[in-house]
Amino acid sequence: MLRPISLSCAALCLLASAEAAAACPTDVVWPEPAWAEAPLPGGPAVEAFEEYLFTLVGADEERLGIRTDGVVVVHRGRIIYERYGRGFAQRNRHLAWSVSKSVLSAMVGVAVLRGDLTVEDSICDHYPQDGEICDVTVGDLLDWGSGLDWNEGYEDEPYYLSSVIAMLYGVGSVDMAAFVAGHGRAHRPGTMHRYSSGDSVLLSAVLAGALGPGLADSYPWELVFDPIGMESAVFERDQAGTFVGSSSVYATPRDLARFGYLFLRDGCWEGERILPEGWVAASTTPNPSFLAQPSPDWERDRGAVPGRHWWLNAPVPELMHESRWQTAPPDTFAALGHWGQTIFVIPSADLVLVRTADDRETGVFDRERYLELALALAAEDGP
Amino acid sequence: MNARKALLLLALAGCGDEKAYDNNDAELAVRQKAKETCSCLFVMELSEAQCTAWTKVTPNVAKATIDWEAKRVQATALGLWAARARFDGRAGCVIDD
Repeated sequence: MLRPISLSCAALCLLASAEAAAACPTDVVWPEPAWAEAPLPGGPAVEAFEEYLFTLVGADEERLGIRTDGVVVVHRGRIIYERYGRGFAQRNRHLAWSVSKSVLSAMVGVAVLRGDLTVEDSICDHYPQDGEICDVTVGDLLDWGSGLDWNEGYEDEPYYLSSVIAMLYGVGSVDMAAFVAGHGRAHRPGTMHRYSSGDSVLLSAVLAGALGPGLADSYPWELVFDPIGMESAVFERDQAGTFVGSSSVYATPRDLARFGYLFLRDGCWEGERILPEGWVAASTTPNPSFLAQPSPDWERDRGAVPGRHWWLNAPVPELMHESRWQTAPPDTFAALGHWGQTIFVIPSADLVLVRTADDRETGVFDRERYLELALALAAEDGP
Repeated sequence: MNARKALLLLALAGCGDEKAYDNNDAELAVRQKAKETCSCLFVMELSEAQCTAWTKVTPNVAKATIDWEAKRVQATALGLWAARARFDGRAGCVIDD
């Protein structure tokens, strides 16, 4: 019974968002050909920000504490703060881990605008399978709501139980999408949110199928990286040629800031629409699968709210859930990756925050503290 | 499969009634080491020392050998397992079985 309701909600959200969407902004700064820079002079806010992010503890091999590799802060379209640590420099690409999922979502958005697929399409329209999982839609994958039986475990549990590790390095690594599609069903699609790198990789394969062989090898660059000037971007593939949409984008922090800026500007770039009207709004609205039933993991942690391959600070009154990051405005949304990779977008503060890192100690990095310090930093730059 | 490998498989593979994948930790370790060392060196463009630190996992049984000219990495563990990865421009690195 939930399935038609979820689909209707998704469609309505997109339509409503499209109606509300404004034209592309014209009175803003664009980072072309390069970012404008307005570095903040030193001061208490800068000092507090740096002390929190760049104070190393213990020997490097102990992997303790906060281990920041790079930070770029973009306020009102200009870089107001940039620093690198632990041997990284501006030129170094950094593994984005699951920030890649949000990047992939933009590629799907561009394909929707081009008319290559819709979020209501069955995945089998573009990635031929037997009928068993053909009721999964593109939107279900964007919502991490496929219902496929998947264990999103990492280093903190036995490797042989982790679907992700099996996909990236084990039995599933040759053809990751086929490996994902071969998993059994745990729930009906669209009825429960369950964060899954498998859904994201399957989405990469579905997208490649929708775009056809002419773009299958080049779509990340054709659709997103080139139009927004992410010249450093690398996107790795498996042996079958599928882009590893769960976790394998690499880029410099400055280029990751370009990606955040695309979403800050409602999917526009230099005044031209890259993403469909309403796409950013739909991406940053609690997703239908989540609203139908949050995963047990989410219920336990009460973390950020899943949008469409993005994470939200939005409160969800029907779940008695307040904003996850209390120090940040409720319109804050984020691309989040393993070991501390983050892109925060705060529209009400006209702010994009990129952090690359190697935080191996679980739970050591306090995103609320980071956001509080970053907002104080931006306040020094003026409204 | 020789006896040593069988014993190591038993030691490293998981037991129990949870759903398990047909991988053992050493096999995963060499594939992770080869692929992530390749990406670290040729995509992130960090030093060999930085990449040794970046790719360290538990169990730390895999050792990497780098072919700088061909931009390939081979990783081995315990003299029994091996994996390779190669660099492919903007598509980064891929495990090369």
